[in-house]
Amino acid sequence: MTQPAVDRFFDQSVATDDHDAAPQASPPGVEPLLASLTRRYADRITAQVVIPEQLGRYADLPPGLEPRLASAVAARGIARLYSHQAAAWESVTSGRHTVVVTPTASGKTLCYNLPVLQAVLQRGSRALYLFPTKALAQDQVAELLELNEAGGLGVRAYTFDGDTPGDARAAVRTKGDVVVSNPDMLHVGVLPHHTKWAQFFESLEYVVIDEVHTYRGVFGSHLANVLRRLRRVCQFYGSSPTFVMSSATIANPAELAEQLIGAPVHAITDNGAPAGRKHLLLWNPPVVNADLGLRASARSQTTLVTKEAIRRGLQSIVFANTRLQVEVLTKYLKDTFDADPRRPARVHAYRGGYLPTQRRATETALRRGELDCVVSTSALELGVDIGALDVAVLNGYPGTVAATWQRLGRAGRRNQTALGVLIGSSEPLDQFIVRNPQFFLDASPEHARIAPDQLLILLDHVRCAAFELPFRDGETFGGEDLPTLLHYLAEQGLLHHEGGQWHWMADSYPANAVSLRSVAEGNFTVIDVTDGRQDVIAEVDYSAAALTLYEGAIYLVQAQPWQVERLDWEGRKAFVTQTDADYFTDAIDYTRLKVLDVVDSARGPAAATAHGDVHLVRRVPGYKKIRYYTHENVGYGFIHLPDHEMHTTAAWWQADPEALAAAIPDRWQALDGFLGAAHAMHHVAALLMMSERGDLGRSVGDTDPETGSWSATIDVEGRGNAQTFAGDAIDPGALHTFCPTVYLYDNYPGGVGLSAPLYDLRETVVAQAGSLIASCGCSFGCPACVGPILAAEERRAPSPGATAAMSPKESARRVLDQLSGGPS
Amino acid sequence: MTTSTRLARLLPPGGGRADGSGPPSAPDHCAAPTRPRRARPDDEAIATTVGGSVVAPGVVLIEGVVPLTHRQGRISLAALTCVGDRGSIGVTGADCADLLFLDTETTGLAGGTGTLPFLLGLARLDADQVVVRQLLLTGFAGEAALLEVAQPWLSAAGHVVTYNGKSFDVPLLVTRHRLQRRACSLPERHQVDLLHPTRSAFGRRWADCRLGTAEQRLLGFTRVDDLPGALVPAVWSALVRHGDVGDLRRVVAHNRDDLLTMAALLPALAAVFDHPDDAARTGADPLAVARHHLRRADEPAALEHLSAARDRLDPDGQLELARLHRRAGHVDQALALWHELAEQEVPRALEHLAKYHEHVRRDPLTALDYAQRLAEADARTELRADEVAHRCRRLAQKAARAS
Repeated sequence: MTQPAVDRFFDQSVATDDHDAAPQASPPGVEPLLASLTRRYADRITAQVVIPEQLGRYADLPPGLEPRLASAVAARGIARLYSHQAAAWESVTSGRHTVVVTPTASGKTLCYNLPVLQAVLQRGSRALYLFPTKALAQDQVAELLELNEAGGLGVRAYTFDGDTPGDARAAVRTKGDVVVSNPDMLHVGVLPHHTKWAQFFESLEYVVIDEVHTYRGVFGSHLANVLRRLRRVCQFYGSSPTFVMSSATIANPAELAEQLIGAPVHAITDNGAPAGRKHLLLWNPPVVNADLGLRASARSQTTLVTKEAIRRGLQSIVFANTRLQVEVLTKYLKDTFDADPRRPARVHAYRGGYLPTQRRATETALRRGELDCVVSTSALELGVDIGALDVAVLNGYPGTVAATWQRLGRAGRRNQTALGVLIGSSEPLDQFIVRNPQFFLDASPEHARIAPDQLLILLDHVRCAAFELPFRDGETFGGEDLPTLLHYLAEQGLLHHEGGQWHWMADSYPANAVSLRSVAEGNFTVIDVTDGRQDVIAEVDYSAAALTLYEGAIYLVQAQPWQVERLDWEGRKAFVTQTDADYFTDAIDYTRLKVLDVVDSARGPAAATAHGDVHLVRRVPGYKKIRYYTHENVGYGFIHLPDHEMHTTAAWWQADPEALAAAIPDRWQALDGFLGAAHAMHHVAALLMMSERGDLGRSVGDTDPETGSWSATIDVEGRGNAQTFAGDAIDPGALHTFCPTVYLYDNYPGGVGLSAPLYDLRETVVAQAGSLIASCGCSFGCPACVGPILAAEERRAPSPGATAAMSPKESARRVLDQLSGGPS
Repeated sequence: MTTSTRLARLLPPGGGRADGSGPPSAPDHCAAPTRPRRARPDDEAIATTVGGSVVAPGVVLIEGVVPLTHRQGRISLAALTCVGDRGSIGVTGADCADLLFLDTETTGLAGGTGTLPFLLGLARLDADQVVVRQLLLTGFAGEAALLEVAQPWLSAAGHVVTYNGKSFDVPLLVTRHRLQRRACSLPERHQVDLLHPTRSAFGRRWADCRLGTAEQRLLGFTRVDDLPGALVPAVWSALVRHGDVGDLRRVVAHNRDDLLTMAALLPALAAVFDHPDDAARTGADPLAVARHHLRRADEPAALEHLSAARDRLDPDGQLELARLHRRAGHVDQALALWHELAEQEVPRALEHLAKYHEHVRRDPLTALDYAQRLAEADARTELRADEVAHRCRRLAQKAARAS
């Protein structure tokens, strides 16, 4: 064998193992498919890029490698390492905290398994592995066990999570060499009981954190604090573990890792794994109604491309952004390829909510080449071993540049060309990406941002840490003034200061009250209970639930109406029944924002930008019933949801009233312009900040009590409306001073640090929003650029005094001009 | 802005979080920040209040002796010396000299590292009296000293007797030793948790198995002016926060009563498990008592209890009794029970009879009769239809051959 046997690393499976040997013939290659697509659909392809092949770079197995481990590795068919694996070994074994940046399927697990197993075998050390999901944790244990068996190492690796039975827990604690868990379990099940883990912590040498790029925003800020607690507990037991992390490609892996663990981290970013050539297509569905800016659905294009690929014998993966989309796409593909129930399925769906055994079966079938296609949510974006495929089709932009590359990385065999297709949906962000391919292709992956010192999150964990071990005077925890926080908790009756220590005093278990995943998590499921049914028909984002799933709401799926009978807010469920109502419903929501403190501001000739602390009250007092077609208001209902109130941070853009009046004389039109501009800015900002759109909120209004206090929303006719917080409509024309402002706020109490960087990017946000609108193919403005406008421009008679009607697109463009002419 | 200004803004006083979604941030009902803070009384003053003495900085010892003539309700402590040798609840008469009764009063029930036992109550038998030693913390500082003082008694104990101590008091003390970086010998001691036998015998008979319930039902003991356990954390909190010694004596008395109740409960429970008469008198669940004995591989005891309660058994109990009779070779008694149960069409009894007549008596016709009744009974419960149908087919063939 001249080619060294490096074929099968653990998450990089090229099937050479006998038991995994794929019966598949050599795949036909993607070139014919590519040629066919580019010839027939040239007008839909907005960009085509070739990513050149990368040759593998290798290094010898480390000389100091424990012989048993070396033979285990050899038994798995590995004779040498990739260069990044060798670099990781070097860094980790010298005791440096290390983060390894690896694309999908490039042998990352060996980066941490080698040093960990070495330490277990040589010194009886222990290691803790943290994975963001239980499924990944189980994969990891399976993999460790395979290596363990291959070399007869006798290393004990156990999962410890919510599914671990009570009677097995003691054994995991006392006998586990490698304990595989997740941040939530560490937070609530391990640290508050650290005395039971005393031996484990005493000999803890390595903490492995996989997929660190997933720990951003609120979740990441929580994890950073859990790790502060972990380090504090380790210190108590006299250990000081080395952290080994892995990350997908993001802009700031080292910075994120350092923020997470609170110590300098060595980043290994140079990947030595080989990769085949890859073609990437950006694809925009064809326009079906230019006036309304309507395009064919992304789904239709995804099935078109995927069917073509399957017919040509190529193994494909389809990524969709919701579970529902996964199911629908799977059905359409199965209707074509799995019509004969006697034959094994060629298409599988894969998502959270399936049983682990089902998922394992799909993974195995993929590795063995027995499946032609898998349709998945982000669940397969992470490091689950499914081997390498030929074609990746992304049904909609995943939301971040990093996740896009991660998903595209699922296609790519070492000696074969692969194809990735990113299909834009009608979402503004998608449209922006596929219409501005250069932006996407040039974009460095996003920064993952966390705010470990976010005051409320920090306070939550100070509480938990104080429960675990009393704080001593002079101790530090995070970047805020700890004594102030401890005094506060003492005033609350939770702590007691005595003898230079702060003792936990309350009869409560604080970790139970702190969820690491933000409140804004947890989709609502919509359940059809018509005639005793129990069918889930949709999922709705937390952020949209209050506005779409209130009791009495008409909820539309594929234009078919259901009425919400009951909303179980805590359980995240809405129960609906089929209806034939001739109306739809529109929630009325007001956001009142009050600026508390301006941290920084910049003023230009026609606009001002600032960021700072704000107080926000969001109220959804009721809804209107609107008859189809006539759009007449046929009723009103009350919504009984509590006001959503929070202190947070925001960045805002304000036009100079006089310059605005000169640019857009009609105030109604200016208001429409602001609403449209805010819509575009919101989407662009979410893109720039690598955040989910729900992490940022937006509001248009004027909060200065001197010039007026109103906020604006868009009604169902696509028309801007301004009202006071009491809900009274106001006429912008009648205001003495008209000073609309766009606010983008951090949608988490206290903020998680999105506003300051947003302020730093204030000009980019406005410029990119301008280009999003300018590059849109619509005539007057459409949902993909300025947001829902329906028939606004046709319906509205020109205001008195206005010379001509201005389209929402034009007014938004002028508003953005104003805002960009501002800060210089 | 300083941390405290921002804190004040995010967490306005008197309410939950400013976002309206978080949990209320002041769960502690005894915080009462407005309450005047007196200087905490010194250790001596506290010792005087509770009738003890300062044995180390921050630690007050309340020591007392109780003669064995003392009655906790109906039971005299002298019963401790008459525990039988059967070991039904993990203690034999011979063990009584090295029993250590243990009960803690804590800052809460949450468990984990944030719960502090501020009063450690210990009691042991010493010749003709019970010696009670209670160690009280006057603040957080004395914990290491408290564990030190308790050490000799803890390590001398042969059996540690608790009520729910296996899952609460003992792990808690192990945790406290770890936090104070001290070795703890408790887990090596033989553990006798009286909650477990109590729950076995009475779990299905009483509304709950709290110690207070057990002492009322088994000892006929009712406390006077007892401090409810739920108020205990607040008393110590008032001491360390406000120097308030108010109810401290009542906590000490409560703990002492817990210890004495355990000392009386042990012989009372042993009697329930040793003597069917006692079991009947206290209303224990005979089947549960029998199963307790079976777990200890004491079939004769199980049989004795079930036989004595024969007329009060439910079908499950009767089936179990029949099973034990058959294992002991008392086939007639087993058959009698199965026949009684068969009259009520109890499937398991019909099955036993079908098997008995098929395999022992070699009488397929009678067996078939039972098997068919079994099929009907099972059809009502929709269980094992295939298995029973198979039995019927087989028996029908046998019966045909036999006739």
